[in-house]
Amino acid sequence: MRRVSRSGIGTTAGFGLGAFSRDELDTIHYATLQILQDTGVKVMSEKALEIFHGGGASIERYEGYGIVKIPSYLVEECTFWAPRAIVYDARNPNDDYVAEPNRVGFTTFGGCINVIDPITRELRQATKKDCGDIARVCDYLDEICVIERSVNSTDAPDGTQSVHNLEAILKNTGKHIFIGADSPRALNVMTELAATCAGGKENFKKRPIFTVLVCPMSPLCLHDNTCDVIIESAMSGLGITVIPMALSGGTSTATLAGTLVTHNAEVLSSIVLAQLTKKGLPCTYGSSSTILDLRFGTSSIGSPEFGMINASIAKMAQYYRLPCWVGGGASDSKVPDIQSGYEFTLSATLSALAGGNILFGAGVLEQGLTFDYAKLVMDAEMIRMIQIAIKGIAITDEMLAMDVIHEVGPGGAYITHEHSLGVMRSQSQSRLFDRRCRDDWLELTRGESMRERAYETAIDILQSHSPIPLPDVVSEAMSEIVAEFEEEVKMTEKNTRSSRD
Amino acid sequence: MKELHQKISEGLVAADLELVKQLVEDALDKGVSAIDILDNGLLIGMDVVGKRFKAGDMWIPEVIRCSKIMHASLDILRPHLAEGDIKATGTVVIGTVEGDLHDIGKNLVSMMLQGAGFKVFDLGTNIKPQDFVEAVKTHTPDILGMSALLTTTMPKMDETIKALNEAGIRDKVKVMAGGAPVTQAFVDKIGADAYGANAAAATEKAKALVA
Ligand code: B12
Repeated sequence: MRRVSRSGIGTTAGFGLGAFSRDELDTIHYATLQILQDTGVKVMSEKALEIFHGGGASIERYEGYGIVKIPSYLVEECTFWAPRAIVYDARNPNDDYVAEPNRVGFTTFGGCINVIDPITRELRQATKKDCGDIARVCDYLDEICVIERSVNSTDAPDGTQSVHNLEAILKNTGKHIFIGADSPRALNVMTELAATCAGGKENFKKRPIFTVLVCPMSPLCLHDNTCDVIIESAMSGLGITVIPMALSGGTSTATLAGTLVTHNAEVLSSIVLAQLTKKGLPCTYGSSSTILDLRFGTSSIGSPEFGMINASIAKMAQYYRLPCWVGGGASDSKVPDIQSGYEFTLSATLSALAGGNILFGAGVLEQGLTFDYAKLVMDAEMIRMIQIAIKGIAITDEMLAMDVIHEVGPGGAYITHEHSLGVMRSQSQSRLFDRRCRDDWLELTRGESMRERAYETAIDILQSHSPIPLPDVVSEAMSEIVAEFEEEVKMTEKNTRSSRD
Repeated sequence: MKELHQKISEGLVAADLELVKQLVEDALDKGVSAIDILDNGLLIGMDVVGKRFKAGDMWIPEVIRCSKIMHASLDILRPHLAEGDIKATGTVVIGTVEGDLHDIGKNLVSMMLQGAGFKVFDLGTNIKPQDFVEAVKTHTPDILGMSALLTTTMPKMDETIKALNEAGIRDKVKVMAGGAPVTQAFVDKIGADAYGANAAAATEKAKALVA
């Protein structure tokens, strides 16, 4: 039989989600331009006001802040200045993450304050050790593409947490890191820390191994610290990821469409500030937005709306041809239970189908307050399944395998055919999920729940996995930088206190 | 008469502004005393609202609307009330602590307290311990409420209580604290008087504190 080439047939690679027509995306874009031009954004940093002004925005000054109105040409131009495709460099070059359009990777939720202790199973405050430990588990898990600071070092002194977070993470992973900074000064110190790890300032400039998370304040406010961290990042050449946390019904319209517009305005105004400070700065279009549950007054991240909003935001990022960081896979459950599994899957799948580049949500419970090791490991299992699912089914000659079908014929067996042998490993594989028959399952797991096995897996990883090592001198130098900074913060505290008295 | 009171409280629960305003005017015309309308009509309604909210039967925007109606009715009643008739359930000074900008939760608490008849002075966000102390001196509230959403700003609650002590006014005011990372254990540790896990609990605790 001869099957010659086909000419130009339409193909779709992978399963995806349409979400919006081009016209609808344009509508959101124009609505955003109108908001930026007519309603404006409240900016509370003097430095930022000057930069906006210098770029061509109009400023109305009030006591302690300014309302910045940005003309549409400036928005269009600045979003265009941001680089189209980004590679997030990693200390371990094998882990460099390429965020080309529609590549879908996953990471954890960030900034939690509690953990469920994997050994005692008690809820307790997260520590610097957890921050490092979770990074180590994530370093091991192939399903996690970059590291987000999942919990805060709540045992570290005020004003120094972000520096402690970064130290703990750098020592435990070779992957790229996404992390927030307490202040511009803390960011300086973090840059120093990372440069020490990355083989010096010059090397770090070429391959910045972390990206700065910045958080506008919905609705439509850029606080002084947010602005100053954006400016400091831009001056140091560190890419930023802008993650507004608009809560639909609380800090944005209760309708999701309006939420997309103000969210977009918050991201774009931050990008304008970054680009005016440094043209070409890598900017990741981000989101942490969801609904405020108007019955219980909680910021629900297990709701379908969390998935809907974040999938939509992935589409907005694609519209601007920017890499994106969106929510997917979070939960409101208080324990790693069935609810947390269902909730993970709905929003993670929506955002994955929408083609979000980095989906954060793994490991989190309780509206983003609590992190759980078992959930992280179980989520990783599901991430693998989702990544198989979004690949879709390729309709090609090779995959149709017409020759094999003819050969096996009616009533034949495929399991004995060589073709199956060649292809079998492309099937999804379960490790933690169980697909065996009941007897085998009972023998292997003693009937233990998946959650128990997940905790065991996490503990195993913690004990056995060693990330790409840092030379001892580097580790020591890092500890010194952190200690010095702690001292510095203590002194400034003291000084401001005595000047107050 | 009883029936009118009931209609007022039901109208309030049903969030029908025009109806409640009309009923309040009618009651006044019929010679019902303002304080009677308030105590046995409006406040009964607000009580039901609070209970239904806690049970998850009523949504926050509904509760806010009910409390707006309550205040609109009070405006009608006010000229008819004697000096000292509206004893606010109590007075509260509330704010988000220094370094913290989260205010959604604090605003909700403050609205619910107002709905329950408290007089609330909302200082806003990023409030320094000293400014809390000043506000307590100025407004002499029954309760000082502090909100913190960041583990890094929680210690400011402790500092504020210490500042109240230093100013010698700690025993003049009850202190209530809340916010997602705040726990009963933390509240006990810093020596505050009450903790509220959400707006409904905050209102209940506040009522208990002034009872
Ligand atoms: C919305 C939000 C924001 C918004 C705030 C908008 C606003 N106007 O308030 C924005 C985007 C600005 C923001 C900024 C930041 N945020 Co924030 N934010 C949240 C989020 C998602 C929801 C908070 C919320 O409004 N919940 C809904 C309200 C109704 O609930 P609530 O506040 O808990 O209030 C209820 C109760 O606590 C109680 N209550 C509250 N106050 C009081 C007071 C009294 C007296 C009583 C009795 C009761 C009481 O009753 C309320 C009503 O039921 C939380 C996560 C979470 N689930 O809590 C993170 C969270 C609190 N934020 C966090 C962080 C890290 C930040 C930033 C530092 C991020 C950054 N890198 O820029 C900044 C800090 C800015 C600052 N200096 O304050 C972390 C905190 C981690 C930590 N170390 O503590 C959290 C936990 C999220 C996370 N996992 O990362 N945030």
